[in-house]
Amino acid sequence: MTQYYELYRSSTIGTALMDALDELISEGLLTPQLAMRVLAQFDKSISEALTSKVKSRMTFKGNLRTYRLCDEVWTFIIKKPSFKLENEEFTTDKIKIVACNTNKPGNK
Amino acid sequence: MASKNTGVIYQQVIDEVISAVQKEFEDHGVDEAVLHELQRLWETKLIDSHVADFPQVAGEEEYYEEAEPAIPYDQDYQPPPNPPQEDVYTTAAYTPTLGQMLPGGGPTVAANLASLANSSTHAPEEADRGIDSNFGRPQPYLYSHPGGGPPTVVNQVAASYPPTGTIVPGQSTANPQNPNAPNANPGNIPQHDGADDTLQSTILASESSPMTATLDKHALAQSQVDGDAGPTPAVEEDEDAINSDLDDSDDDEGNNDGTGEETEHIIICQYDKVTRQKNRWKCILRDGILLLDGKDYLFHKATAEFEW
Repeated sequence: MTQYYELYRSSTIGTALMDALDELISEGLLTPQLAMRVLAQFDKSISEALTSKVKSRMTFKGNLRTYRLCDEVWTFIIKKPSFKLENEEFTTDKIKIVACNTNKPGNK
Repeated sequence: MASKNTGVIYQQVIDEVISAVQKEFEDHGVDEAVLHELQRLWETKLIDSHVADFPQVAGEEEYYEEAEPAIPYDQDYQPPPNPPQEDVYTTAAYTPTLGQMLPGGGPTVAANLASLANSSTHAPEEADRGIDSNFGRPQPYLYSHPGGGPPTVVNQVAASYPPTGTIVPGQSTANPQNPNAPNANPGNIPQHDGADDTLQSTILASESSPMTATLDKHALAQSQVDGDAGPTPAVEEDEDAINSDLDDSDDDEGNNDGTGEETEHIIICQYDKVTRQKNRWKCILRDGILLLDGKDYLFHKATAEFEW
């Protein structure tokens, strides 16, 4: 099975799933092993959905406050970013970006 | 609008995951009702997070109850009241690991879980498993009892030393040397703080080689005074120290993230290319989830330019 990143587990939909699994496990309705299978499936489904179902493109700018590359993962802290997503524009004071290398899954 | 799209995608992901693991649940002999409960919990939590507009889920009335309050939240004109809730939710949600129960599910969730557990034919087994998993949490606390045991043993051993009595002459021979050096007394006082540690270490040393220097026994005899003064507080301190050390380290990690880099606005994505020319950075990102002001936005591709 192709390896998929687990980073999307920390997104809202991922944490909602993990919370739900936690509840079922603590109720004794689910084994942790099966929960891990569900999470693995989630890794796959969310990755594929973002690749194939999401079409929108975004551009943004900002002041790079912190940058770090560790284990093929880039982390950026951007001050005053301004986003353009489709026809919407928004800004905020600070945003953190966590990015894994696109080329890793599937190739290894 | 993008947020609406997010809801559609999220719903598709949920449906896909649930249907994909259905066979796995069957293979594990897990009741299908659990799978439905998982989907319901998942959707409920996601809807409660108000990160996106969700298409009205057909079927059970509960979805309407859960979804209706979400509709006013989804109006972008009221972001201020929402993000705080979202913040609490996400920060609370990031910390737990598998096996830890979250109370945030709400009464309806708990009621459903309870009814589900009761209605299931495997209730006894599940109850047992539930107890196991619940008792998995306090184990560190249980460990602290064995950890708390040795100090009492230590105290007994320490108490058994004075009857040997010969130490006291040893002290008297040692003391004439020490009073000349006033440092000895300041040196003894700190033993109150670290009484247990020095006790254990010195006893281990004395057990292994009982004829070691009289200084060890000297220390023992003095630390008895500490032990008599308050043996139980010392033990409690020890337990607290173990627990608080663990807790503190966790908290510190969280605090470091919180003060340094943690923000409720985050992009989780993959990068195609990251380049830099002097202080200008260009990034080509893809397959990202942007959480901004309590809303999730999805993008397939993003180009970013930063100045450092």
